[in-house]
Amino acid sequence: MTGTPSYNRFETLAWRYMRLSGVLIIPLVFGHLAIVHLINSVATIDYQWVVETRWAYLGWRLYDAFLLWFAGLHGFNGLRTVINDYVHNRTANRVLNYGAALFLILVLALGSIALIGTPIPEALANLP
Amino acid sequence: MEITLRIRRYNPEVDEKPYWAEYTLENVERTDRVLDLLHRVKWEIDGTLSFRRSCAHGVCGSDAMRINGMNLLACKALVKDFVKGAKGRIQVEPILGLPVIKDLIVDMDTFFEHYRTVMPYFINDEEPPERERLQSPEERAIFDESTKCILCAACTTSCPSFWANETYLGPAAIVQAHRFIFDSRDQAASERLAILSEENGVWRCRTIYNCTMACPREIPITQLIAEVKKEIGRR
Repeated sequence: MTGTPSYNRFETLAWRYMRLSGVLIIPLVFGHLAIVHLINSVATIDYQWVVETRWAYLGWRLYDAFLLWFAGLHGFNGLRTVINDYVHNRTANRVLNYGAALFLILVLALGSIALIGTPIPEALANLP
Repeated sequence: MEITLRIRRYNPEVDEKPYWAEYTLENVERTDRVLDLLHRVKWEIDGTLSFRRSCAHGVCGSDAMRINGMNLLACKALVKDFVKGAKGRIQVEPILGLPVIKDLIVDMDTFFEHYRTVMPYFINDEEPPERERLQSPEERAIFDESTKCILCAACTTSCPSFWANETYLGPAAIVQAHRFIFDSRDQAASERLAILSEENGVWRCRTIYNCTMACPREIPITQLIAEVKKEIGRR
């Protein structure tokens, strides 16, 4: 045989990412669930609570950022494989894949803007 | 015992669509094979019933079919595996995911096309030694399981990923590739792994384990696919 065979690195990477992010998402998602559904009630959670009680601390912002990015990309990659499995028409496949990618970018951008852009209330920022 | 055989039948020259036909057989032995029952229907009741079979002893891999919802070789499936009492029903239909040609016979072209894609033959351009290319028992053991495949297609046609998308090479082709990728005497592992690293290669495997359950040779197929995935990741 001649020449160097070319590997599809993207698919290999995507497969590895699914395994790794899957493991990471488990504690992130269950932690999130416990905080917003068990420890607190969804009825009492509002903008004020998020900004003043949670996002006052950098650690929680990072937690939410990890959840946003890992779960977002994990979900998108899963959707991509489902589309590639079931949608055989080339045009429809492309439209759906690009649509899913656009949606992902929108969600990640909105989430990231909120996480980075929301100011820390000054009174709380000075707490130990 | 009395067995009612429910067979999915289809003759494209006559029938508009497939239908279920029922045949009642008497004096069936518990140790009869489903293949024996199909023979009795063909020889005693309806000669137009069509199915593939050759060796009838689980080696040639011709008579894979869906029996009571599971992919099995009709020559290895015994009546007593399905019916406990004096009377019972057994359902037989063609394997799924491949176009039906007639009755239980499916068009295997796609299956063998995928088989050929992985270069399922020994490749080594070096001059062979005087006697033989030596290999230790340990080196041989690495691909022992994948040498057992008889290409019956029971695995590939039990795979939901293949049902959804027939461009997926499927478990059988990956097992055949495994047989040469891990053979210390072969030199084309990289080429085969490159083919299997594509979207239609190993990554369409979602570790469902249907293939492992379906294999009449008890090859741990899902495990072999995982070994190929790991090997691609290593390169």
